Amino acid sequence: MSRVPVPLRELLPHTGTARLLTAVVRCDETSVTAVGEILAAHPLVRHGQAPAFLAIELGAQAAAAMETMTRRAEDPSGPARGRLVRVRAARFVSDTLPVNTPLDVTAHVMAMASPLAVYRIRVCLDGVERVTATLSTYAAGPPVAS
Amino acid sequence: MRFLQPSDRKSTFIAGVPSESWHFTVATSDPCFSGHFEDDPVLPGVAHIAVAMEACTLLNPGLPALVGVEDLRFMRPLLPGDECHVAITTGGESSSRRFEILCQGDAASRGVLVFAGPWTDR
Repeated sequence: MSRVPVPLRELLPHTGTARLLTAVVRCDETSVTAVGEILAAHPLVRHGQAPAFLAIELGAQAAAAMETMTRRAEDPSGPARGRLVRVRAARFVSDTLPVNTPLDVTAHVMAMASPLAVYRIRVCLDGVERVTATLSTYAAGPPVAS
Repeated sequence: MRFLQPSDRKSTFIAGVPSESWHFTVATSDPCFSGHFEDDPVLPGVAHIAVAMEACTLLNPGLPALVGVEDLRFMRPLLPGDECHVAITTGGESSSRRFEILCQGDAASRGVLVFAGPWTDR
């Protein structure tokens, strides 16, 4: 798969271990496909395993990247902060995720009434679904980040 | 434990329902602030879940696996130095627990943690 040729620093305000997304693979106005990775140095990693709920942050970052990309034509000022305001339901196949391992992330827009949006997110490892969730975000400025 | 101290546990009632709560201070040096964000640090939403999970682990170190989160709402961001409480609603043997994080009297977040099986406080 080809990667979207936009540096992540232009899509997300997160830096260092807080930035979980590593690449955006495909993006349009209704969905984004991305790759993420939780580094072993992330502050919420314990005993070499990441808690599965960190996938919620992965999904929120994918949604944020998508919002930035879809508004770049109108507002090229780069990433700005938004907020994760609700997790309606999240399901974890297991309570941990591996660290330093690529995870596939998708976010689909379910509803949008700017500045609010609802996304269905899915995080997979080696093609196997590990986490699903429905998130609501609030875009305070340009895009969304948790 | 990262956010909570076991000795800070208090037994209370919330709307007539027994609950266990802990006071905690969001450390200005908490590494969760690193990169989130450089000019305006905010505790990530997932860290609220981490706080609630710490509280549940203090109630029962043999906690079943966390398999879900339901109806979690974030009302107020947690900032460096914030003085907070996390309350876990207990009572009865159940596979889920409600939590609420309060900061200076305001609700910061509340939601439900769903576990793989029932457990009781110890």
